[in-house]
Amino acid sequence: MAIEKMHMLNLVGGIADFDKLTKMIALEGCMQPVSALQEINSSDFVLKTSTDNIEALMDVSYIRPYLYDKEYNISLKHIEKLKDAQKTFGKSFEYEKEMIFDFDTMEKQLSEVYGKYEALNTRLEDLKEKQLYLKSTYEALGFLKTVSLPMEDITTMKNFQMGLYKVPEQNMLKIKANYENIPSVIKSVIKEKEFIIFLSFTPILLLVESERIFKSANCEKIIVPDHYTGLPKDVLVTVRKEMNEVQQSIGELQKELSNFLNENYKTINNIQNSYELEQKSGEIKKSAACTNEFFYLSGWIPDSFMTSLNKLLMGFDERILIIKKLPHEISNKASIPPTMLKNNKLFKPFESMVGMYGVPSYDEIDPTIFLAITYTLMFGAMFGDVGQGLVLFLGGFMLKNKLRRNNLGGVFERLGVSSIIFGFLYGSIFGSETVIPALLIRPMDHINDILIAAIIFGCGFLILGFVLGITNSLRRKDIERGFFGKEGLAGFLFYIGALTLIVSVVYKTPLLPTTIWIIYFIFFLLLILLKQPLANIILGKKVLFEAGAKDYFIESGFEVVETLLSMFSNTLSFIRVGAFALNHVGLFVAFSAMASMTKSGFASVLILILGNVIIICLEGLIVFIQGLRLEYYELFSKYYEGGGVAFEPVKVKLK
Amino acid sequence: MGSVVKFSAINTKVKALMGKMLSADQYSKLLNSKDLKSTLNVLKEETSYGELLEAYNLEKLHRGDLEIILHKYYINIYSKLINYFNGEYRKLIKAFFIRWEIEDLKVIIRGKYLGRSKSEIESRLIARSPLNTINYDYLLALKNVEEVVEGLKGSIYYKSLKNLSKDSSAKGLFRIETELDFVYFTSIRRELKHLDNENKEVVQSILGLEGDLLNLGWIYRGKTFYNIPPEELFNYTIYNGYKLSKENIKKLCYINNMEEFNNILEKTPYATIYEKDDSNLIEKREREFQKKYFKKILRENKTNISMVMSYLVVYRIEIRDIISIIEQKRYDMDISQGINYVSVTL
Repeated sequence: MAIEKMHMLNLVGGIADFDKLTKMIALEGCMQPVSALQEINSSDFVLKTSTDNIEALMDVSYIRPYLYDKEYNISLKHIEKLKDAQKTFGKSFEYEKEMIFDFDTMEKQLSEVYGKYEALNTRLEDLKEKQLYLKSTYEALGFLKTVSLPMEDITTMKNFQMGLYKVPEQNMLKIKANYENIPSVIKSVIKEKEFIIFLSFTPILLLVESERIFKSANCEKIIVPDHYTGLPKDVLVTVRKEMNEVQQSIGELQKELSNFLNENYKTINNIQNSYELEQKSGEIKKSAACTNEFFYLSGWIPDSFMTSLNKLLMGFDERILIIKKLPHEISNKASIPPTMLKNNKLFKPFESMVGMYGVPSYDEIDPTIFLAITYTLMFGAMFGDVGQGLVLFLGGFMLKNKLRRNNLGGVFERLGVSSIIFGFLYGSIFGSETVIPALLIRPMDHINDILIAAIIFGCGFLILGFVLGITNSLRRKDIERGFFGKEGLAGFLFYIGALTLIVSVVYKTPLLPTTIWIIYFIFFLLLILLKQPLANIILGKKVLFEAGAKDYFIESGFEVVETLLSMFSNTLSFIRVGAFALNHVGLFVAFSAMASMTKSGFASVLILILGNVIIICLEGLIVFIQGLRLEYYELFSKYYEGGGVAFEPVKVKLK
Repeated sequence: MGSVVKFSAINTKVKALMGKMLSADQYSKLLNSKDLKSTLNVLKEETSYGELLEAYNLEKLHRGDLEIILHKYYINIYSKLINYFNGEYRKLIKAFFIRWEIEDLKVIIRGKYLGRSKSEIESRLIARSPLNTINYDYLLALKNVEEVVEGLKGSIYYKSLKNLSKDSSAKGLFRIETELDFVYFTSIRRELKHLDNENKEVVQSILGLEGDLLNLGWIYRGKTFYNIPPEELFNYTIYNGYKLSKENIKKLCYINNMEEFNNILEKTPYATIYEKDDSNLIEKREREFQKKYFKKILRENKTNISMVMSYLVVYRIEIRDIISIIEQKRYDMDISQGINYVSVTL
C-alpha cells in the first residue's frame, strides 16, 4: 500500500572510504543508521565465505564500535561569529554550493578566513574601545576645563596623584558608603547606564593603599596619555580631534570588513555547510563499527532511494561490499523497520493528521487515504458553504505559500474545496440560501433525511473500518483480534446482523424468525466472550487463559457489554455530521435575524460580516475537531494501532 | 486571583517534592550507620534517593563521584521546575539558576588554570542543562584562563571579567571568582524590577538573607584568619542585605576584636550563629538557621514565589547534609563529632 518498502543495508568497506561514504549518504539523506555492532551480533550481518571477502572476514574478530572523536567546537563558534558578522555587515548573495569533504582542508580554510576576519575585527574593536576611552577622557577633562594650569602640572604633582577610574555602578555605592576611610578625594564625572567614571586625587604617600581599595572594588584605571599638554581646555580640543579621527577610521574599517565578508560569502557559507555535513556524517559514523582496516555500517533505506544509493556506491568502484535484506528476512526481532509513508500529492497533507494519532507500523495498512477521503467528505457535509469554503481554501493557500505551513495549509485547501462542493449541493453561499439553487437538498427543509443520511454514511464508514481492521489483524496473524475480537470478524458479523435486523423491522419485512436472530446474536457475543481461549485452541497453545480464568471472564464480560454499547453509540455518533450541517444553517439564521432587526443597512451588513467571521472561526474549529474525533475515536479504534516508528534519515540541511 | 493561577501548580509540586525529603528518622538512621557501605545502602533502600542510585553499583562508586551525582540530581529537579513558570517568573528562576552555572564556570576556569584535561574538568561539571547561558563545549575546548574569558564574550559574565584575566596567572583566581558571584546577585536584582510588590519583597528577603550570611562568613573569616584590611573587606561584601544594614556591615568590617563582632550581631537574628566561640560549628548553625527560617515559610504556604524558593534552599541543605554524612562515614568520623556537620540535632 502506501508504506514504503525498506531495506536493511549493511555496508563493509575500507576505512579510507569511510568518511567520503558517510558524507555522501548524509548529503543524499536516505539512511536511518542502526547500530552496526548489534546487527553483527544478531548475525544478520553475514558475509559469504569466499576468497573476495577473506580479508573482511578475518578482520571481523577485532571489531569494535567506531570512535568518533573529531573536536571542532571552537570551529563551530568561529563560524557562528562569522555568520553574525555577515548579518551585521554583509549582504547575502546567491552562491554555488561546494562541499569540502576533507576535514583538514575545512579546518585550514576556516582558520584562514577566520584569521583575516579576526584581525580586522580586533582592529575595529580596539578602535571602538579607544572611542569610548576618548569619550570618557573628554568628559573627565571637561570637569577640569576651568583650571588654568597646564595638564603636565596636574598629572605630575609632587604630593598628589590624579587618577581616572571606571567602576561598576553598584561598587561605586560601596566606595561612597566608605568615603571617610578612603585616603583620596573622589569626584564622579560621568554616569553611564552601568558604570561610573570618577576622578581621584590621592596623596602620593597613601597611593598604595588607595590603589588596593580601588582594585578590590573592580575599578579600572583609565590612563591619561603624556602627550596631552597645555591647558585642559586646549587638551579638550586635541581630544575632540582625535575622537573625530577615530570615528572616521571606524567607518573605513567597517567598510573594509563588509567588503571582506561579501568577497568571502561563498567560502564562508560553504565552510559552514561542510561543517554541517561533518556533524551529520558524525551521526552516521557513531552507529558504525570498525576494525583497523574496515568499517561496518548498517541502516534502513527506503526502496525509492535505492537507485540513487546504488549510483552513489558505484563511485567507489566496488570497493564496498553491500548486503541487502528485506525486513522479513531479518532474524533480529529487536530491529523494527521504520515507516516512511508514500502518498500522492492529493493525500500527502493528511499524513500529519495520521501522525498526530501515531505512525503506522511497518506492516500495517496506511490509513491516510481512508482518513483523507472520509474526513474531507464529513467536513464538507458539516460545513457546506460556497463562500466560506472559498475563504477556507484561500486561508489554506496563504498558510502554505506565505507561512510555509505545508501540511496545515494543504489540509485547509482540500477541506475548502469539499466545503465548496457541498455548498453547491446545499445551495448555500456565505450562509445565504437564496442566492443559488440547491443541487441536492436544503438541510433545514429536510431535517430527518439529513440525519438519517448521516447515520447511513456512518454505517458505511464503520463497515469499511471493520474490513480494514480485520485485514490488519490477519496481516499480523493476530487470530484473537481478527476473528473473535469485537473489532474482528465476530464483531463485524454481529454488527451486520444488527443493521439487517433494524432495516427489516423498519420496512416491516421480517427476514428470519426471532429465535434465529437471538441465536445468531448470542453466538457472536459468545465468540467475543471466549476470544482468548478459542484463539489459543486454534493455535494449539496449552494455556487457555493467559492471566487466569477468573480475571479473564470479568474483563471479557465487560467487554461484551461494551461491544453492545459502543456499536450503538459509534453508529449514532455519526448523527453529528447531519446535526452540524443543520447547525451551520441555524447559526446563520440567527445572525440574519439580528441583521434584519437593525434598521440601518450599514449595521446589518456589519452583523452579517461578523456573523460569517464567527461561523468560519468558531464553527469551522468545532467541525474540524468533531470530524477528527469521529476519525480517531469511532474509526481508528477499529482498525488502526499506530505503533510504528517514523523513518528519520540523517540528512544535511544546506543553508 | 492571578497569584493562584501562577503559583498553585508549583506549590503543589513543591509539596509533593517535600514529601520525598529525608525525615528525622531517616537522618538518624543515616548518621547511625556504622560504615560507608551501610549508609549508602540505607540511602538506596529506604529513601527517595533509591530511584537515583538504582543505576549505580554502590560497591564501586567513588565518594567524589557520588557528590557529583547528587548535585546533578538537584540541578535536574531545578531544571524541571522551570516548566511551571512563564514570563517574568521564568526569567527570575533562570536568573537564580545562574548560581549553578557560575559554579561550573569556576570549575572550568580553575581547571584551565591548573592545566587539567578536558575530560577531567567535564566530569566535575554539574549544571549542564537547557537553562544554560553559556556554551559548555566551546569553553571546554579552549586552552587557558584568558581564552575562556575571551570566549565568554557576549555573555553576561564578560564585562566583569575582561580586565581580570591578565592578572590571574600572578594573583590567582580570587578576583575572578568573586566577580562571578557578584554577577549572580546583580542578575537577580535586574529581574526583581519586573515583579509585583509582594513577590519582590519575598525574593529580596531571600536573596538578602543569603547575602547576609555570606557577608558574615566573609567578614568573620577575613577577620579571624586572613587579616584582610577593612576597606577591602567592605568592598567585597554584598549590598542590599536583609537584616544587616549597610552601616552594620561597615561597622563589622572595622571592628577590632571578635567581642565587638558579637555585640553588633546581638540585635540581629544571626546572633545565635556566631555566639559560641567554636568556628567549627558555625556552618552547622548557619544551615540550621536557614532550615528553620525557610521551613517556617514553607509551613505558611503562601501562594507566591516563596514556596519554591524556600524549597530550593532547604533541599540544597539536605543534599549538603547527605554529602557531609557520606564524607564522615568515608573518613570514619565518630557520630558525636559528625553531628556537628549536618543541619540536624539528634
